[in-house]
Amino acid sequence: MPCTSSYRPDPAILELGGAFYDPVQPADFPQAITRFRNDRWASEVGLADLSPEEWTRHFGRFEPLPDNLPQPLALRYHGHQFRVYNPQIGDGRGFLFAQVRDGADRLLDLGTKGSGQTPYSRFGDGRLTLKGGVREILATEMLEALGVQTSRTFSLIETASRWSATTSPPRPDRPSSSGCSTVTSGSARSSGSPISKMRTGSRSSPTIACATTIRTWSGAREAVAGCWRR
Amino acid sequence: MTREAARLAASYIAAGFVHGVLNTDNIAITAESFDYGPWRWTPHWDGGFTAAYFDHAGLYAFGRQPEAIHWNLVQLGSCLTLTEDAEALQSALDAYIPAFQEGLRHAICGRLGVVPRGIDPDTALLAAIESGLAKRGVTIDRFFFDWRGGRLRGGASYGDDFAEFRSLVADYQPAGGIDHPYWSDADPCSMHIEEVEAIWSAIDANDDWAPLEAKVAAIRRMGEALKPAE
Repeated sequence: MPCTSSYRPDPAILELGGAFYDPVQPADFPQAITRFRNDRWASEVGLADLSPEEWTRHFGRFEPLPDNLPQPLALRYHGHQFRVYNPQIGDGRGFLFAQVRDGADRLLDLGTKGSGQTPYSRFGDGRLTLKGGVREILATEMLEALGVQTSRTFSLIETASRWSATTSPPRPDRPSSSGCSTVTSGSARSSGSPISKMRTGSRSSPTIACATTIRTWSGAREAVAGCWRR
Repeated sequence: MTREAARLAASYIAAGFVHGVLNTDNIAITAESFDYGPWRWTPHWDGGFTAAYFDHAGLYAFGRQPEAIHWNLVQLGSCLTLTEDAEALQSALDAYIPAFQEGLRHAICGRLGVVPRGIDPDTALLAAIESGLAKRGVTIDRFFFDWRGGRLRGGASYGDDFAEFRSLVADYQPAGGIDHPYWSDADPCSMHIEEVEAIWSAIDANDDWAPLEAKVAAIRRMGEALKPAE
């Protein structure tokens, strides 16, 4: 795979230990059409030279990147949602796919949305609508331009144009899903490193997608969750 | 982290952004936000503007976001009392309000493209901007676009609503240039709901991705124009 020297894998999350995540399988999508690829950030982390085929293999099928996480990890965490405490939120429709260092040596997470069910999906189908993926791109691009500290949308891949046996039937009151990856980035500090995310996504009624986000490292959040459980 | 989170809250306000779901699990330990679902940009300076249709109480309305982010920090602080000194945590949290005020005047001066002059004059300028924008005669984006560098450009008239602002801003020096061609455009680059829906409709109805691609290019061009001077 044509990773450049600026591709610096660093799956640091593994050092935290298995209490902080659950290894999961990505959904088996009937198709993978790349709709957005963030070449600016791909270049920042040494992945801009991926061929279109390689891109869909890694961000649509989630085949591991070299020397990175051998399998996606659904992160375990707790928190408050609309001020109600939930001791077990966890990644319900996404996972941590890979961790990389950027030019400033920040540890970044490539995290997904719409990549399938996890132990934390509860009644959810693990999917993202294509519209949701498109909105993720628009929000993150605009925020970045306005100087807000935000995750960046790394990739959006349309994963199904309609529901099929492999995508599981839509729930009556639910939109179809899509996958998206986001990359967020952050810098290491005493309390933990920054976080980065990536997402991929697909067409709404009933189109689904998968997004990858790049964002600063989420490990610190997980460490706090572990502390709370003790 | 308190200071960074306060800066995040300030940058949301200066951007006119409403995340919609500021649950504790949507902000990383690096104070980077992510997971953008029902977000919106508020066209006008309206503290009650709410993004998520299910947020009936307006918990995460435009003007309540600084409070919501602070509330999230308090939850993190209470987790940390398991291992850290509570008084030290409290004093860390106490830094939030001054850091937010500091962050807001810098973010607003940054978006306006003027050099900050100090707490008192900047606070007065901020109050004058808020009171003018709160009349809703002009959108947030249009105001900052027309007044880039602290001098009125274009043919819009800013009457009595902005009398106080006009008198105060005269004492400010421009920060960086307004040479970028973006500043000669007829209209600012915005991200209001009508445009978001139009971009999605083109994809949904005609598989036409050109409007999305054009918008991303326009946003990045604005980002170049907004970059602080070296």
